[in-house]
This record gives sequence, structure tokens and C-alpha cells, in this order.
Amino acid sequence: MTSDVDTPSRQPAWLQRLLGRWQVRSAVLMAPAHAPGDAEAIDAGVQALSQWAQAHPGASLELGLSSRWLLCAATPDATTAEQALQLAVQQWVHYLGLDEASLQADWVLQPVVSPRVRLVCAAPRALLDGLHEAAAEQGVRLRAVLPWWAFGLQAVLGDATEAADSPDATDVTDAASVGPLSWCWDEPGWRTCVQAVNTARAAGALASTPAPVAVSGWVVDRIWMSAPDEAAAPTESVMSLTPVASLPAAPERVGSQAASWLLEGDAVAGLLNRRPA
Amino acid sequence: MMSWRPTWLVSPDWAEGLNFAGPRVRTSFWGWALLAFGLMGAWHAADLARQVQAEQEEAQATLARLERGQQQQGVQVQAAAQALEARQGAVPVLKEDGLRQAAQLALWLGHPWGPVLDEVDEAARRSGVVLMQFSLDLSSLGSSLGSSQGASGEGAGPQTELRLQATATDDVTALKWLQALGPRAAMRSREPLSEPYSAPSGQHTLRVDVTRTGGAP
Repeated sequence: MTSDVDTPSRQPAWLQRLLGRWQVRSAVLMAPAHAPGDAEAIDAGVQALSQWAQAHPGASLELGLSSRWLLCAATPDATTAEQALQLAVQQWVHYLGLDEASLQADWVLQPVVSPRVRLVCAAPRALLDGLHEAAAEQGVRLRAVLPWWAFGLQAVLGDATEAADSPDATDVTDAASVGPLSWCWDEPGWRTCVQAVNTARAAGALASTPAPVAVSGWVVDRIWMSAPDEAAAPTESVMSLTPVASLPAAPERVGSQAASWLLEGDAVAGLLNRRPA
Repeated sequence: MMSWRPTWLVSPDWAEGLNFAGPRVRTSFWGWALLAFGLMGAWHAADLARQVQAEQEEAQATLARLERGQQQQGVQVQAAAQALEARQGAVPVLKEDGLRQAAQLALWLGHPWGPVLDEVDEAARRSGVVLMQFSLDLSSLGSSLGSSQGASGEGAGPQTELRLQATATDDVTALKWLQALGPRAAMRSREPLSEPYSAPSGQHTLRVDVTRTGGAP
């Protein structure tokens, strides 16, 4: 993959700095396979950003995080951010065997509670602090640090809701519109999947009501991450889904066999912002 | 499926809530609209200010032109008056009094002071008297103007009155001096000096006052 960053430019240095301030770059920080919160992996990630920042002093950067860095949990029953955090921590303690105290101390928890999306994502505090420090050393402004698939999920969920609200989708007996919808985002060796259910339609179908019920839209019901060949999906059919987006393999660093974990270029463009209407 | 709604009407980004760096500040449509209106207002105000400035400069230029025109008109009027005066002879018109005074002054200035003084001095030297006082009655010189205007023919001239005073050694010397002054000279008084004095010509004991009428000798 080629990057426009390394393209030689005949623009004067001051103009490059000015354009660098004005032009916002997008990149995704990939990650090696590691246990949640692994210090060695975090150091590698911070080092990758530090090297990028040295090559782009003063730039503005929107950084997507690989799902390998994150813990994410859907909390559809939560009505407040505190409740969502509590439910998410319970899941991580139960399924991943993490300590609740270490979760509160070593992870930064970011809850989202909206009508259709109630989920919590967590990133290692050491990673976020290291990224901010590495960026600040070179004057790089981190405008965003978020899951690389977040705006993709927002887009597909919005599309599903608009399709459900359209006059053509009023038949509540349509199994496709009642059943859960799933989307996946792939990155090398790792897959992030989200499942959403249309609770109103499901309720209408189960009650066998003759008249269509009011549409409330799709609500995120479950998030899980796994290797593509693992059978951790709720249904086998999910693993055969075409991913909404896929990240290519991390490119090798110039002059080294080690991979550069910072992925930049066309594959990343548009991932970290709202999709144009 | 593409949404028919513009971006600024779509519900807010819940995905931004997952931003660990804090939500990005996105300027709303109304923010941009307000900025645009503000810029348009500022541009309009600047345009109005430029217009007012231009009008003020134009008014000042007009005022300056009018002032210059007024000055030029004044100069032209003055020049025209001077030219008119020049055409009319450029001689100031004097009334009778002014003319009389001017004539009197010209008469005073035209009196032959030099010959008169030379004659008086020569007469005193030849007679051996010491001249003590010499005066000319200017009023008589001025009053002679009227008589000179009315006079005509030979002998007409300013009837000035010359007053002389001298000391003499005796009566003979005094009479000789009176004779030397001419036929129009008349002795007014002859008195002995309270304090006689001696001079190269002798002991002066008399003071003699003489008047002489008539113009130049």
C-alpha cells in the first residue's frame, strides 16, 4: 500500500506545515495478537505512532483503533451510562476473567447510550496516555481516537432503520426484517461483529398481531470479536457474512522486517467520519 | 440506500461518543450560516464605510474647489477694479481741503531755503553782527498760497515773513545789517543787551529784531 505521506513534495516547508495543520489525516493503529492490556504490544503501538509523528510534526490526526486493542460490550438493557458501564464490566469479568479493579484502573471506559445503541468500549489507559504523549512530543494533534468500525456501524445501523421505516417494509411477517441483522468488520486475523435486533417487529411477529406495529428501529444487541476461524458466533451463518469493511495487512516497515502498525492511506480514508449522505 | 436528508439534519453521531480523545467539534450548519451572514454584514459595512469616505473626500474636494474659485473671483474683482482705476487715470481724487494742504506742503518744500539762509548769513557776516535767531512763519508761507493763486503778473509770489534777531556793537552796525537785508526788511525793536559780550568784531551791546517780508531774495 502506498501512502501519500511519503510522496516527495515541491511545496515549501512552511506551506507543508500549514497544510499539515489544516489537512486532517486518518490512520488506523493496528495491533499484534496479544492478551488484553499487554504492555509489550502497547509499547509497539506507541512506538508506531511516535515514528509517524516524527515524520509528520504538527499534523492533525484522526486515529482509528484496531479491535485488538479494545474491549467492547453491548448493553441493550442499560438506560444510563453508569448502568451501561456496570453491565459491561460484569461481562468482561465473567467472560474474560478480568479483575474489576484493574478494569477501572488500567482501562479507559467509553460508554454510548443512545436510543438504538447502548454499548461500552474500553482501551488500555497506558496505550491512550502513550499515544497522547508521543503525539504531543511532535506537536501532532490527535483529533480522534476511536474504534475504526464505529462510524461504519453507525452507517449500517442507520441504513437498516431507514429500510425498516420505508413503506415497503411494513410486512411484519417478513422473516428477514424480523430476524436479527449482523455486520462484521475484518482486519488481519481478527473479526468484529455486531448483531442488532428490531425489537418492535419481533414483538409484533411473536404476538401475531394482524396490523403492523410501530417501528422503533434496530437496536444493537451483541458485539463480539474473534479470529475468523473461531466458532464464537451466535449463529454459524454470521461467519459467512461479507464484511462491511476490511483492513489490509499491516505493511512492513521500511528497512525492517517488522510490521508498521500504523495503517494509513486509501483503505482508511472515510472510515473515521460520518459517511456522506 | 442514500438518505434524502442533508447531513446537518441527520441525527447526531452516537459513534462520536466512542472517541477516547473527546468529541470532535463540528461546526453546525447554523454556525456556518451565522459566519456567512457575519462576513456579509462586515463586507457590507466596509462597503458603506468606503462609500461614505469617498463622498466625504469628494465633498472636501468640492469645498476646496469652491474656496479656490472664491479666492480667484476676489482677485479678479480686485484686478478689475485696479484696471478700471488705471483706465480712469489712476490719480487719486482730492477734495478742496486735501488739495489745499497738498499745495501748501508743496509750497513749503519748494521754498528756496538754501539761498535765503546763504543771504542772511552773508549779510550778517558783512555787517559784523552776530545772528542769534532765524525763524520763518510757516503760516505766512501757507497764507501766501491764496494770494499767490489770486495774484497775477510780475512781483506776485509768496509773502513770507522772515524774523531775524542779532546782536550788534552799535547802531551803525545794526543799520548797516538792516540795509544789507534789503528794502523789505524792517527793524521791529532795538534793545541793549542785559549782558554785553565781546566778540572779534567788538563789544556787542545791542539786540536787534528785524522782519523781512517777501519770497526769495
